Amino acid sequence: MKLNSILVIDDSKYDLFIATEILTDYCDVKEVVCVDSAQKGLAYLQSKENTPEELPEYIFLDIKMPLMDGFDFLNLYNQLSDKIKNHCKIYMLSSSLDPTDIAKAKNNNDVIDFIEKPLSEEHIGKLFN
Amino acid sequence: MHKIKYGIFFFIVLFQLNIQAKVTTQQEYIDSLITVAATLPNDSAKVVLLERIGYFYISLNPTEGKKYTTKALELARELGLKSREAASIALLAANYSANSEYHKALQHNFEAIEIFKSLNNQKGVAGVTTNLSQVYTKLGNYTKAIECNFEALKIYEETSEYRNKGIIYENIANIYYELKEFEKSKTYYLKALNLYKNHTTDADEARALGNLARVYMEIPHYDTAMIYLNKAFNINQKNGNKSGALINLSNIGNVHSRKEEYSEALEFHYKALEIANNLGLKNFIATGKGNVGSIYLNQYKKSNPPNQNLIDNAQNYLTDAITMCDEIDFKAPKVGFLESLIEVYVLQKNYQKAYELTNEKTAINDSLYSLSSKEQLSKLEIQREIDLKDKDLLIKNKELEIISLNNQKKSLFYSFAIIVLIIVLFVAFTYYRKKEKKHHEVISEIKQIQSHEIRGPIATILGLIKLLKDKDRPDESKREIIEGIEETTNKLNDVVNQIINNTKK
Repeated sequence: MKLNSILVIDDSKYDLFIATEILTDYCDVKEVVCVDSAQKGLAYLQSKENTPEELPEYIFLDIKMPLMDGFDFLNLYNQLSDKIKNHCKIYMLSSSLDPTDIAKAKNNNDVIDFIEKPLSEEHIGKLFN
Repeated sequence: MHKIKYGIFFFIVLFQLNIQAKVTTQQEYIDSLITVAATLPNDSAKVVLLERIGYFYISLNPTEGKKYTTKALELARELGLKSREAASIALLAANYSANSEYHKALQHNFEAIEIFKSLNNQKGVAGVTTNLSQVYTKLGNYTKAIECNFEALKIYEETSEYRNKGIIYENIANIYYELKEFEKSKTYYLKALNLYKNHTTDADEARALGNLARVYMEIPHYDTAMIYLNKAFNINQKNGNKSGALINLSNIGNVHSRKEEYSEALEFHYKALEIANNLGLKNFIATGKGNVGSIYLNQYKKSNPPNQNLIDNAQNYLTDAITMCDEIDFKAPKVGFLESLIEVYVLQKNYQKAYELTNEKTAINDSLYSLSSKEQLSKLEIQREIDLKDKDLLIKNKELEIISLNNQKKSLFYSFAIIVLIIVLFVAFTYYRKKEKKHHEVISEIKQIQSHEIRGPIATILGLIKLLKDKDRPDESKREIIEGIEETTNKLNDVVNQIINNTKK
């Protein structure tokens, strides 16, 4: 099943690199798009609003980022149009072991699941198969 | 905290704006700007003027402010002026903040920061980040607030923006004060003072001195607090800053109170009350009367044989104070006054009255603490004052600065420069415990953040190692990954060192 694109939002360049490598190696996706801030993530999604076929099917979202964090992103994502929200599935990807964070992520309507860093082949297997 | 079980001391810190006196002048000034704006063609000067109008409306009437700032924003977009667009968005954020629409304020601040980043305008980024920290402070999100302050500080570090740096130090000190980290709070006020002494007007110095005195009152180190208060008072008096002087006098009275020097305390509170009456500042009149009433109550309790005059005075002043609070809907200090008045009635064996007032007090407490107590109180009192501080920083940021109309600007500066804290000391134990609990919550939140700081790099290192193991890679790729592991390990090392240093303290 060929995916069009996956969007990864994380302020750490190495974590973006890890995600890109894992995703391109273990799943069938045309393009992995990386952005280093939640604000840029929102802007990217809004820019594809009128070409929904170019929207990413999946979004991997880090929690801990300076200024605007993952939960702030989710608040603003919720106000985007349904065109976008219905198309994208969000996974929260974080090094946090804080049970409050995990619960908050799982409780959010727009989040499918919480994944613990580092992203690995096993995670991909479970997600896409 | 507190020897005084039932007495109530209100510590007022703040606020240099003579609202009543200045409002007419401000509105007239704004009207004149609006008239001029109508005559201008649609160019950048008009954008700047519309922003200015929006800015001044922030404290007067945020809804009108939004109107004008939005006009400025639309014109800036039409003209393709990116930098002015960012400034207008930031101003809009301040308007939303003044109207308590904090999430809109956050969003707009983020937007403005992104635009300034894309224009590589570091000062713009710093200025808006500072405002962002103040929104987080209002939301009680002290961790984020401190983060923002340090981000902005990084940018100002290399510059000679002394006053802006000073204001950030004061922001940080205020937050540490709320978190009861008095040593850190002290350090940052001193840093701010150092910058103010050599680089700005002494009005900033006076405000920071007054705030520093608060910290010494809590440590407690009353003699030092007194020294700073006297310094602040002298500056404010010299500058003709009556409301600032009033606050200093009140606090001096409070220090005497804490030292149980009641006649001296009364003397200073009376002086403060006199000024408050002259300026017609109802909130200060209310708290001033409440302070005086509390002191009479304490004097009565120490008098032997019991002096009826004292308790009569206490009753009169406290009743007046409460009436005034009702007039201006000033809820927070009212609770403290009620507690004192209840004690007065109990001592006079008027249990009926005492019971009535207790019910009233419980009703207010419930409505006040439906949110977290600390946040709500902070919001009630700090609201306008921090808003004004926002504007202070906006003015200073060159990107947002406009035409200087010298005289008015100067007096408005004094009006807008503020750091405000009203500390309300509630003596009831339950209230005290609630504060302690929240404090512990916040401290543990900060500790959790630190554990994220450790786990994050570790997760990255593990991920990079796995990439090396899983498949064969060209040397170039292997080297990059190894460098990544090294860099991340060093970062982790720094974090651990920092934590060790912090725990040592």
